[in-house]
Amino acid sequence: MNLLTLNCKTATALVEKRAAVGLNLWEALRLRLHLRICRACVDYEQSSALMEKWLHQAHQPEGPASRTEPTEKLTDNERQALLDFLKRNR
Amino acid sequence: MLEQNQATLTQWVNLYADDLYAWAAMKIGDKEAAKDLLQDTYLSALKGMGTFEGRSSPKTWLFRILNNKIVDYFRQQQKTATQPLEADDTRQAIALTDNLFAEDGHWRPQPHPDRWMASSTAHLLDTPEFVQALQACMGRLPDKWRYVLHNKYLSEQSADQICQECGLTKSNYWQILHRAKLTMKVCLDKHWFHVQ
Repeated sequence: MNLLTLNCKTATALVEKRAAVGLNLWEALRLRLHLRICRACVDYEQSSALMEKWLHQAHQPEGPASRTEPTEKLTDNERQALLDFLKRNR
Repeated sequence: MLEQNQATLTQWVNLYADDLYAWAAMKIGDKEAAKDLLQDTYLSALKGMGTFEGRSSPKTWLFRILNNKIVDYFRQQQKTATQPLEADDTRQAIALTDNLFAEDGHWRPQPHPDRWMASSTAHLLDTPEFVQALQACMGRLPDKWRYVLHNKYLSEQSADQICQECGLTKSNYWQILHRAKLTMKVCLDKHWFHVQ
């Protein structure tokens, strides 16, 4: 096997490694060469970046998730219980 | 001073408790536990009132405290769950992601990659149905992987901290991210892009 070639499974793993912890020079070179010739992995790279953005935003408390999920609310009693609890523990 | 803190906190309960509670309930899927976390959050806020400098809004500050409590909650869950090293859900997800590639490690044909690339994907998060699909796909990930994602996206931790938190080597960490992303991609292909 040519030392420079990567298969797609490894290449897509390196896409994630690059984003998470960074690549060494050798890995970076091999990934760059692979992405130059492999359309499917370039597609994956873009899908991965999209998912990264979505996952990040979906975990923001005031992001899109909070606007769509059915909102749980405290009852008046529960709210009062919380206030009483805090008064006892001040 | 104490009286003043108490008054401020009462105001914060009235203003933000519902939002905080709804967020916790959605994230952990357990209303009773969410109420406990809410109570802990306000208690921490009361004790830490002196350190709140007003650089962020009270709401943002409270959410930050709550998110740390949520991560703690997941950590406890993770500890108490007596799971074998590779749980069934993890094995299944690994098989699913392995199957995306042929024996030589190259992609098997992928369904409609073009739909991911369409310009409309830029604003997908504005579509409530899509956000629900995304949440559902996250919910289907193996517990351990979801725990890693929660740590990554919910708290502002470095890769090193997350690895330490989750008991992973760095290689484990990015390999889990790789598998999790592939699994999410398959799920979104099936439940969103396929039907669009």
